[in-house]
Amino acid sequence: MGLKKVFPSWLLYVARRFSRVDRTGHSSVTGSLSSIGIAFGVMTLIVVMAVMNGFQSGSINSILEISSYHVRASIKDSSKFTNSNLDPAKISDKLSENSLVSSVTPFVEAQSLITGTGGRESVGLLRFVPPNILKKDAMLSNQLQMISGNFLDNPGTVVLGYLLARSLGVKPGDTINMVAMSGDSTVDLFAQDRVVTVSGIFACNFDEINSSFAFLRLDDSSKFLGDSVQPLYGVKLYKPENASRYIAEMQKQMSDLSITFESWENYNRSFFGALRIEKNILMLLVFLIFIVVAVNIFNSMRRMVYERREEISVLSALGSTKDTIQRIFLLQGFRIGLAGALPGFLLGLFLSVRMDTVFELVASISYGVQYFFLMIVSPSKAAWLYANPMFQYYAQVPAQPRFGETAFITLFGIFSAVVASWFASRHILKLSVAEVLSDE
Amino acid sequence: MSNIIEIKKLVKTFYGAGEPLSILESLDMSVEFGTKVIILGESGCGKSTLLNIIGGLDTPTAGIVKVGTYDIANLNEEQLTEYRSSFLGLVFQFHYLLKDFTALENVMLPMYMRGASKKQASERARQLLCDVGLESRLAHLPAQMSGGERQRVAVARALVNDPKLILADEPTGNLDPKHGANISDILFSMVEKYGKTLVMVTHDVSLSSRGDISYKLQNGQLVNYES
Repeated sequence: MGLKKVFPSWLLYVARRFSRVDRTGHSSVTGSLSSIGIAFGVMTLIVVMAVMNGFQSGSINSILEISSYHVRASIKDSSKFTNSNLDPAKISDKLSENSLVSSVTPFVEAQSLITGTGGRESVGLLRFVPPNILKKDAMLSNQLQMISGNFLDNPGTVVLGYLLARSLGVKPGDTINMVAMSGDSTVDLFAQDRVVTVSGIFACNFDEINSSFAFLRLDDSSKFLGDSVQPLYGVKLYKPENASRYIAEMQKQMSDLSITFESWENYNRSFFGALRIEKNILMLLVFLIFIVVAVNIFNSMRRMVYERREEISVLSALGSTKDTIQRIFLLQGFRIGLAGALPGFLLGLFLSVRMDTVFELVASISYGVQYFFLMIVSPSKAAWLYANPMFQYYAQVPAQPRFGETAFITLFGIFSAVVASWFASRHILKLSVAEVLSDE
Repeated sequence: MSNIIEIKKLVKTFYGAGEPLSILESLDMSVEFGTKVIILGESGCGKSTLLNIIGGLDTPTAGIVKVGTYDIANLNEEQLTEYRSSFLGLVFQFHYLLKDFTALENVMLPMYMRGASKKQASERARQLLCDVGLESRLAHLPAQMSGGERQRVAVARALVNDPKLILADEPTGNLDPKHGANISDILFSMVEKYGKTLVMVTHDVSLSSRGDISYKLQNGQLVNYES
């Protein structure tokens, strides 16, 4: 069925006239309120989703590049290796023999209770890595920002996440003591010299890492964890989504060796699942706006249909089917939806893309207003007025609007209005033309 | 000459909370093409119901209602719509013009709804409005016209699709005698000018002389009326 048949030109003509009258007449307020509601809902959802995407992608990138790697390889049974083949450099080379690979890093992981200045304690995740890792792994150096000191330039040093350093009360040059350690089956845990010097402090986009990670040199691992410690291998790929393909290829290539592989999706399954649930729940809550707006449209449209029942009957008597007449009201709903969703979409997109500009503007306005009133009330105090730092924080919120989500939210805004109109105008199908015309 | 309307044993009963109310009882009626039929009767005798059934706006309880080639009782909604838009012109007691549309737009709308272009419909509507003496009122809304003028617009609208049959339900009932007579004159002259069949129901006995045949509806049946 062609569009022209569903919406013939006379129908558009009548719908345009009805909607023009409704825009200026008694129904204009409810119609406008509905459109404003949809605009608000669409804008809020787009901004909320974009901000969540930004935060999540920051966290996910930090996790992938700093913590979990794209693929983790570990030696399951070292008896299958000759001593020379157990050399981490050789295994790294073997794991690198694939065009998908960007870098391979051997590392050792263990947990420890750490004490810092004045006996302040915290639990830390010790990550023993090659000291030149920032040079070899560009993706890591992008994510991990050294905010003071340097990265493991001497043996017996440690680099702490800034939140961990804060909780221990230490700065570069201070020493920390690793009180007790635990690790997996490859770790011997015979700690002897447990005091190390803080060489630097880092920060990344994920606070779990900032509050728990301590980087040490890989060549120090035997000093803390014994000689038999077997490193794990963190593989970075050019594209993380190729993890499964890489694993399949390597399992075939290295089938004689007992190496197990784990992809980032598998390793972080529960965390990423929780992120998804969090986003979905938030989306569901904001979607409630559309339900409220749809109820409003339903009520106003019901009234509109009732008020126009005579005209509906006349159109029917003149030669139109009732479901064709119903489409006039669907077009009304579409107009209300479009009038709300389009500005909502543009505003939402603008807010997402220019979050910094918007909040800087808000900060300036807020500062200006405060300054103005303070100058009137107490000019001497105006010199002590500073812009609210919260706005600066908001301005730096990373927002990433995604095409699919944004389009879905905008279309849903229109769709909710059309569905509400459809429910409200079903009454038309039950109208008896003869009864309505004789009643009038 | 063949019949445009053929009604046999038409029954219409209304079922409500109380006793069923029989309005039309085994009513028979035949109307030839091009004739003007006047149906008289008291209020509530079923004149409008009969007209609504012929117009496909109401359904018979029993009986056969054939208008042209249409078997009214057995048409689905789409066929009824087609029947009303192509075969019928309706004039009601109240004008039932669309209040947000001008006189010209009200008249052109049924033709536009049938698939004519806006220009064609507009030209035809303009001509009909001139025929009923409203050439100066084309752009006026119903609220800006008198009762008689609105009813003249309604007459023009009934003719716009060049229907074979005009059904008029007390078209002068809401007007004072002077304007009522004026509308009757216009309606009869238009029907004659364009060669249409007219079925008019009214309780104004003075109109009986204007028709080719007059009936009186009493006790649910039509009887010949002699003025």
